[in-house]
Order: sequence, then structure tokens, then C-alpha cells
Amino acid sequence: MFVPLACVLLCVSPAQAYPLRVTVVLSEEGGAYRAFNRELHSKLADGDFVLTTQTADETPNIPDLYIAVGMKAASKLASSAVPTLSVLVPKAGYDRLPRPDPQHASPHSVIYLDQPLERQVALLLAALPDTTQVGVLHSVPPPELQHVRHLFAGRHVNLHDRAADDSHPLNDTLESLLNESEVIFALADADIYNASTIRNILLATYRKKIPLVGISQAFVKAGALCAVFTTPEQFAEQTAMVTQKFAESGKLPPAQYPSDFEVLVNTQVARSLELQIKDAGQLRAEIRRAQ
Amino acid sequence: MKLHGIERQTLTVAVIPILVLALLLEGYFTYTRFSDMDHALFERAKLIVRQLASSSEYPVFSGNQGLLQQQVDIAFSQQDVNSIMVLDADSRYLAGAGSRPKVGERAQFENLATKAHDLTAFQENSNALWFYQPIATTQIKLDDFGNGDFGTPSNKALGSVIVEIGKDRLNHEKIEILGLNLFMLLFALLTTMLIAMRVSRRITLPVLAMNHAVRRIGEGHLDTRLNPAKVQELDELGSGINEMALQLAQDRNTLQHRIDEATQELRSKKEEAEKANFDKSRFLAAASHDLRQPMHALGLFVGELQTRLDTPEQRKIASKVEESVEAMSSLLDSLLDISKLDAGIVTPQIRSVDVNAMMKRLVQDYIPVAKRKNITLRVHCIEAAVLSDPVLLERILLNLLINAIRYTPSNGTVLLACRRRGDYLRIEVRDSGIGIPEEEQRNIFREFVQLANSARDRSKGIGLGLAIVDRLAKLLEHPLTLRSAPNRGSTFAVTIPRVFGLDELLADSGPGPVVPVAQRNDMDNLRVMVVEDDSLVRTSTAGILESWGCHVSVAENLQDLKEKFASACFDLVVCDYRLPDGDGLMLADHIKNHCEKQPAFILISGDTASEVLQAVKERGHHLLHKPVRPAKLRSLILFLLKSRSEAAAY
Repeated sequence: MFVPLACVLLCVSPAQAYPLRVTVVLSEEGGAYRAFNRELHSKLADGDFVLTTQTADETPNIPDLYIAVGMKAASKLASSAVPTLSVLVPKAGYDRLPRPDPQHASPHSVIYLDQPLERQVALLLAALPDTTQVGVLHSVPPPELQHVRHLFAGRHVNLHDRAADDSHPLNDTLESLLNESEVIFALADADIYNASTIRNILLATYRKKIPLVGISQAFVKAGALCAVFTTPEQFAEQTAMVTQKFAESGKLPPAQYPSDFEVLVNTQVARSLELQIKDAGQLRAEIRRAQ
Repeated sequence: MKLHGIERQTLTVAVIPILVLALLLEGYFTYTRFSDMDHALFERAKLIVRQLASSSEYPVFSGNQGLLQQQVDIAFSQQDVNSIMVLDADSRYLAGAGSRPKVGERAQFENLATKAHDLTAFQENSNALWFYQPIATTQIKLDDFGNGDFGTPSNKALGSVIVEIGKDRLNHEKIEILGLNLFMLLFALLTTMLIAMRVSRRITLPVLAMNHAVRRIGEGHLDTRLNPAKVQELDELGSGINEMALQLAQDRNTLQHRIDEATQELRSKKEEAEKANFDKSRFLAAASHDLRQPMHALGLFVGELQTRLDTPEQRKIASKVEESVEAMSSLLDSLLDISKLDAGIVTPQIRSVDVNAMMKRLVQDYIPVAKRKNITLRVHCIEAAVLSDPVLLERILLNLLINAIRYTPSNGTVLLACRRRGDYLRIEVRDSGIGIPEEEQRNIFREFVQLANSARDRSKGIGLGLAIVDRLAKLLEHPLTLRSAPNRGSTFAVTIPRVFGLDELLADSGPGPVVPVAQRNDMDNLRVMVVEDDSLVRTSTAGILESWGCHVSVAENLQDLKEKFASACFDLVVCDYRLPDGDGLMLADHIKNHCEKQPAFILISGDTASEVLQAVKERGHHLLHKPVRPAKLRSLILFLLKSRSEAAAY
């Protein structure tokens, strides 16, 4: 929806008097950041933009627009006086960043790394349409919990949530949750889902033959049943669009979720848990339709 | 000993390098093997503990005791695992197997663990290894975009695993390996020693055989041969020894042959010499017999003649004749004595002898002779008895005295003296004569050697006196010594064992001084039978006996006696030993058989054959050798008569 519109806008709007100086600040070199950077450069290759790439450790120059890629870069440029677009930043992390002084506020915006909850709920319902009981595990009850509950309720699905903290060991909490749920719906909570715990959480769910719907590609690779995610290229495309809008309007859009996405299904896990699940393409199409 | 040395040295040379090499190799390989085993056990233990830590992750996370115990049991079932203990993050015991370590030790392990780099800590002693491994959670990266530092809690260990690995099996295996290695070492050594000994035997055995062979050859077994040896040099040595033995044997045979030849030659020479000596003795015996007959008769005739002459002129001539006869008689006597002594038939009659009396008698007898030469003859003696044959001793002293008087010039001195020398008595005959040069002192005891008589003056004797003295001294075992120098006189001395005590009193003083025939006419009416085939001797013997007052009957031979005097008995029978029809012994036997009163027998022989002397002696008769001097015959007759009368008195 945005993409054709942006194209139209780009096509019709007159060229600016000077090319927009954009500095891409990467949290780290390599990996997904490099793929994102490469894609962004290709999208903004025409003469309207002068793109400079830096890492977060370097002293930034003063451009017309910063594109902070990743949490580290976003943290560094959080108080920047130059308009800054943060990309590939978890919502929880971005929300914790210090807000710039409102009086000297320069436009700051973000494209979250996280997928919108609706899309995740849509995935769960598309992948496991017969689900009636969904479990959610968290450390502190997240603000979006009510929204999620509401979303599930609309589809006649009960949401059970459990908090694991010092007095409630993760395993015990998980065990009790698993007893009530048919599927675990993961939320982006690093206290619960992290590199150390994911294996044991997944093992615990397998033992109960309960699937876990993840929140990223890594979850699926670790053993979650499926997840929606956005590729660096998709992020780059969305970023390019926002940048072009900024070039035209001088304004940054409000914070937004990634617009495009992919679905990844761990067919091995599905087979192990004896689940009949649609393929990734079908699921993606269903989610799109639902949205 | 040296041969042992070869074997020992061969052994040393063979065994020591092998031993050193074997020890080095064994040591090196044993060490590396042990290190490998230690390392393998260590790695395996590490693997077990890590595997257990890994597999315990979920059971510990989920608090699934059953599952945890299952994992522990699986680990515990592995070899060498002595004990296992799984603890939670607060070091509370969750599961385990085997013996539990004490709480203090646990803390120790945890301390170790904090220091270890790879979280695996261990402790070990000789019996066991203890491993400590924290149970860490498996890290699975969930952040695609490297926002890892955001919101990720530190990776806390879920608990820990302590595994004790026993070294018993390892130690046992080590001991087995060590034992096997030692066995192999020993085996290698023994094999080497056996081979070395076998090789060295190949040298030592031939060497021993050679040693034996050389010793045997040295002992004279020249037929000893060596077998070929297996070692080339020893074989050459062995054949050298064989050749040497062969050569020696040949040389010895040649030598033996020569010795045999020489011996044969010597034997024949000796036989010749013996034959010559025998011939000489026979000649001497025959000659003396033939000489004796006329000498005997002559002496008797002269003796009778002296009694019948009237004028002093005639008597003087008769006296000269008698002197000549006397000289000839003594010459014959001496020859006879020498032949008797050489025949070895003189047996000394050792008894106690009164030396003093004997010496005084001798001196008394020779004082007239000495006076004629104007020589002072002295005797100096002590009262002593010696152990000797009185007759033979007197003969020694007599000969020495005659010798001394003969070789002492006028106005000289001859001393007969005796001295004690411990248990012996030394009798010396000392003269102031011409002396004997030292180089001649040994020769004078040989027959017919006379110093200072190159003209062979018979009045100076014939040179048998000292030869007889020497033979007699040797027979009696009286050492004879001579001390003399030219013109300084001579001293002959004999050393004789002394007798002490009763024997001294009973000492035989020998025959008394010769009494002149005329002074004792005991022979008056003595019935004498003279048997003699030689008419000259028979007539002369009968004549002198009759001149001494005897009633003499004569017979030519045994037959004649039997015919003429079949039943007659006599006081004395004087008989020639050799008769035409028998001998004197047969005649004596004949007379003894028919006479109640046994007559005395005097056998007169011209024969010096030793068997005759022996036979007569055995019968207890008296034998006189021709020529018999009248004085001697008379003395013997008187002696026999005296013995008889003494025997009759008892």
C-alpha cells in the first residue's frame, strides 16, 4: 500500500535543490546490518541522496538525516539534534531510550524490529486455527498484554498468562502454564526468552507436545514452530521509503512496525509435534488477508 | 680362571649394550604409554563429566530428578567412574551415584572451578581423579540483529557435576604393562645371554680343550690330539698344537731310541766290567790258593827249622828267611782281607770293647819295631769302653799304627791317643811323618797307592793297609778322618760310640798278649790229626806240630782217614778245606759222628771264595787262610785249648 504510493510521490515531486545528506550509522559492521546497508544504498542510489556509512564507534558527521541501524547506534544518537530515523530496534529497547529535550526536539522516528502483535496473533491463528487456549509467559506483565488478550478473545481463544520471577522459578511457571495451554505465544521479553533459557523452554514444551510460536527467525531456528519476521532487505526498502518522504517533506513519520514480512515454519518441529500446518506462503497470504 | 674371564667378558660385551638399549627403550615407551594412558583417562573423564553436565542441563533446569538420576546412572555405568554427584546452583545435592564426597571437598572443587578457564576443574591423587564441571545452559542466539547486550541476563550455572574417576584399572594396567615390559626385558636379556654364552662357548670350549691338551702334553701324553674347532683362528691354533705334539712325539721316540741304544751299550760295558771283576776275583782266588800252598809249607818248614838249628850263624840266616816269609805272608793276608771285605762276607760282631787294654797291647807289640827305627811310640788313653767289633777295630788300629811307623822317619814320634767326644770316643793315630798333600788325601785309601814309595820298596808294605782301614771303618760305621799336611805329620782318627754302665765292666779286652810258644807247653801230648793232600804241606804241618810236642797223625784224604783211623779220636784236627774226595766239613761231620769227645777243628784253606767262609762260619769251625804262619797256628791252637778247658770247667 505504501510502496506504490511512495513511488508515485517520488515520481511526481520535483527534485530538491540539493541532494539530501544521509549518514547511516551501523551498530556493527557485517551480518544483517551489512545486508540492510547494501540494500538501502541500492534503493537510494539516485542523485538525490548522498549516503555516508559509519559505525557507531566513529564520530558522526553532521548530515541532514541520521539513519541509526540497531540498538547501539540508536542509543548513541538518541539525543541527536539532527533528525534521526532508528531502524532494527526492539520496541522495548527504544521505549527505554532517553527522550530528547522537547523544546529542541528534532524529529526522531523509528521502524521497530518487532512485529506488530496483530500480525503475530494472526500467524498463530492461521497456523493453528483450532487453538482455544494460548499461554503467555512474562517477567513483568507487559503493557500490550491486554491488547493481546483482546485480540485472542475476538477469535474465542483464551489467553493464560504467568509471570516468572525470583519467587516463581521459570521452570515451575512454565510447567503450570503448559498444563493449561495448547500453544505458547512468545512475547519479546528478554528475561524469559534469551539465549540461555530458550533451549530448556523449548525442551519443556516439547515434552508436553505443545508448540511455541516465536517472534523471530532465530526462534524458529532454535525450535519454535513458526514466526513472522522481516528481512533486512524489507527493512531497507521501508527505510528508503521513509527517507524519501523525509526528503520531500522534511518530516519523519511516527514510529512504525515493519510493513512487509515473511513467515518461517519449522517443519521438523511440526512433524515432531505431529501438527498439520500450512506452508509459509499460505500462512503469509492468510496473515496479509487478515490485516 | 682366565677362561671364565673370556666367557664373562663376552657376556658383558653382549649384555650391557642390550641392557642399556632395552632399558632406554622400555623406559621411553613405558613412559609414553603411561602418559598416553593418563592422558586418555583424563580426556575420557573430561568427556564424561562434560557429557553429564550437558545432559544434566535440562533435568536440572526442569527439576526432573528421575531424568537426572537416569543421566547420572548412564554416566556412572561407564568404566572407571567411582562416584558422581550433581548439585544445583546453591550446591544442594540433586542426584548422584557411588560414594558422596564430603561437603568440605565440594567447596574445594567449587573454588577450583572458579579458577579454571574452561570451567572444568580437576584434582587428582594416585588413586583417583575428581572432575568438577558446572552445568551451564546451552546458548542459542535469539537476536538476529546483534542486539545481544540488550536485556540479556548473565548466564548463570544451573548447578554442577562432580565425577570421581578411579585409577585402579589404570594402575592395574600400568602394572601389567610394566610386568610385561619387564618380562620382555628379561626375555631379551636371557636370549642375549644365551646367544652370547653359545658364542663364547665356541671360543672357551676349544680353549679349555687346548688347555687340557697342552697340560696332557706337558704330562707326557704326546698322543693327545685336538679336534678341529669351529673358530678359524682357534682351529689353526689347535692344529699347531697337534703338530707340536706330533713333533714332540717324534723327537721323544728318537731320543728314546738313542737312550735305549746308549743304555744297551752301557749295560754291555757294565757286564764286561763285572765279568772282568769276576775274572779278576777268580784269578786272585786261584792265584792266592796256588801261592798259599808253598808259602804255607815254607813257613811251617822255616818254623821247624829254627827249632833244630844249632849255630847262631845258621839261626841268623833262618831268621832272615823267616822275615822274608813273614813279609810274603802278610802280603798274602792283606790281599785276602781285601778280597774278603770286597766279597761282603765279613759280619761285624758288635760288642763292648775295652779300648784302653786294646791300645796298650797294640803299643806293647810294636814298641820293638819302633825302637828299631828309633821312633818314640807313645800311648795316651783313658779308661773307656766302645761299641764295636774288637777284632776288626784292632785291625784298623793295627794298620794305622803300622802305617804311621812306616812313614815316620828316625827320631820321630807316633802317638796313639783317645779322647772323649760326647757320647763318642775318638781314637787318633798321630805321627810326625812326611805328611800327605791335600790333593792326595783321598787317593791314599785306594788299593796299592803308596806315597813316597815310587821304587815299590816292599819293606814299606804293598799299599793295602789304608784300603783295608777304609773298608773296615765303613763296615763298622766308624767315621774315619784324616788331617795332614806335607812335612807336618798326619793324624788319622776314628770315632766310635761309647758304652756306659755295666757293659763297660764287661768289655772284651780281646785276645791277651801273644805268649812265646816256648813258654807254654800245653800242647804236649796233644793228639792232632793232620789231613792234607799236598804232601809238602802235610809234612811241614806235621813237622811243626811235632816240634811243639804234639802227637801227630796224618792222612792224605778222607778215604785215607777212614781207612787208617776208623775208630781213633783226636783233640785237634787240622784239615785242608779242599780234599780230593770231599772237603773239610765232610771230614768234620765224619769225625763228629763216631767220636764221643768232639775235637777242635781248624780248617786251612787257600780259597777266598765267600761261600766257603760262610759255610765254615756257620758250622762254628775255625778257618785259617794259607799261608798260615806258625805263630798264628800256635796262637789259635792255644786259644782253642783254653776255650775248651774253660768250657769243661763250667
